[in-house]
Amino acid sequence: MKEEIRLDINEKIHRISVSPYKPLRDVLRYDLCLTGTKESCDTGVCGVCTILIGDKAVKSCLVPVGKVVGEKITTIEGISNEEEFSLLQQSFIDCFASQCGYCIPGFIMASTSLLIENPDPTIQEIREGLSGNLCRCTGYVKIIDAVKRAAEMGVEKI
Amino acid sequence: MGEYHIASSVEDALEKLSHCNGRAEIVAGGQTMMLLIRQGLVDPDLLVDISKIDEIRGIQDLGEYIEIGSATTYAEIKKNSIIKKEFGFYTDATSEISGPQVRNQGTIGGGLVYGDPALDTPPVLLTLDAELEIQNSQGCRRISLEDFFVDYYETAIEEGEILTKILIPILPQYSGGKYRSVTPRQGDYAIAGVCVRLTLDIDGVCTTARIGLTNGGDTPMRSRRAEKILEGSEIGEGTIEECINVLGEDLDLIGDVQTSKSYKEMVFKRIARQTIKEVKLELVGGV
Repeated sequence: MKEEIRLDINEKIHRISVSPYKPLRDVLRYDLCLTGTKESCDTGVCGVCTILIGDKAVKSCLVPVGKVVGEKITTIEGISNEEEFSLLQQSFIDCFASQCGYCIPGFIMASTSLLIENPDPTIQEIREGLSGNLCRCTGYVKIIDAVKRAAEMGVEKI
Repeated sequence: MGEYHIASSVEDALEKLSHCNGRAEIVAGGQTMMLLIRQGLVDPDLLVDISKIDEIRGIQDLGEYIEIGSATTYAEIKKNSIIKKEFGFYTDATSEISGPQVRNQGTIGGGLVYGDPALDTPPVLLTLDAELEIQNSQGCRRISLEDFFVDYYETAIEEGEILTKILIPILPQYSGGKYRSVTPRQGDYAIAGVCVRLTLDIDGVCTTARIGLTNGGDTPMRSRRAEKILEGSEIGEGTIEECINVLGEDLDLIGDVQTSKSYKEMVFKRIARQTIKEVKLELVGGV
């Protein structure tokens, strides 16, 4: 059964007619064409669909869209503008932290949430903060370097 | 696929449930419910979301008990200072749950009602003698966590009831515990998990022992017979070996593609032995 739902995504109002049980990820990708949020495991394991609700990272495949009415949602499209990457994104580029790149939007969102909560994380805290995201190319070392580097450059610019 | 209702109070949620002839489901963090819906295992007409009800969120120190609202997230539990101070090993075990994203959404109540024997923290709560408060349209009832787990993915919660609070008694002096698990990778489901909680008297004799097991059988469970071996002893090497053998007999394991039954049993015994020794060392000063 479809319902009219209003969402606050990347500081814009979106009005859609969908089932409130539909996973937020599918709404983002298929109803709103925000395809930066990826899909893979469907079961809350891989982390490629990570987005922010408020400041908190969540896996959007496990969030029914009915749940986030009235919440502030941020996707990978919302953390930079057309001219400039976010500090974290630039840091991922500078550290060569991406290979195939499919997992990277999820990593950027999880890292963003991590640095908001803990602006100066240790390597171990970064590892733990990113333990909900899988990457099958890089071996994680450069991803962790990139987050560390972004933290050193200053959290206020995230 | 049906309606979604964000409940404003427990009363409101109970009222909604009562009008749905068993065709309603409760959702809190959604970390298990969304899987069940996607797999077609449940197909409710109504989802009642209890995650925003203030009266069942948060952690309070009630003196004899610590009370945790059922809709409190794992992330909130992990960073709570009262829990860290009173039951540090519960905080540590909470860090093993999946990753930060799941902890940000998933709730303590959701994990218990799901009744999955593979979860990390229910056996920890078993070693803490946790009790549950359940509300229904008639009022409120209390049940021990141990009696709550009935069978494989089956709990004592009835149609039209809501788990509202988890009550954990403050531990006596000279108590300590630890949860240890073996997982294929961080945040994954445990092949085996063992939580040991010991309380000793001033002579170093064990007065209370609790051993909780993750994936040891059909439910989150205790090995009562193994606990009995430790109680009344000073937990020497011989007692620990006896305890481990009995624990092995209490396990109800099945092998799977990744890990055989005998391997799982070996892992259980090894981490149980290690954990009992570690908890004892934490409580008894060395020479």
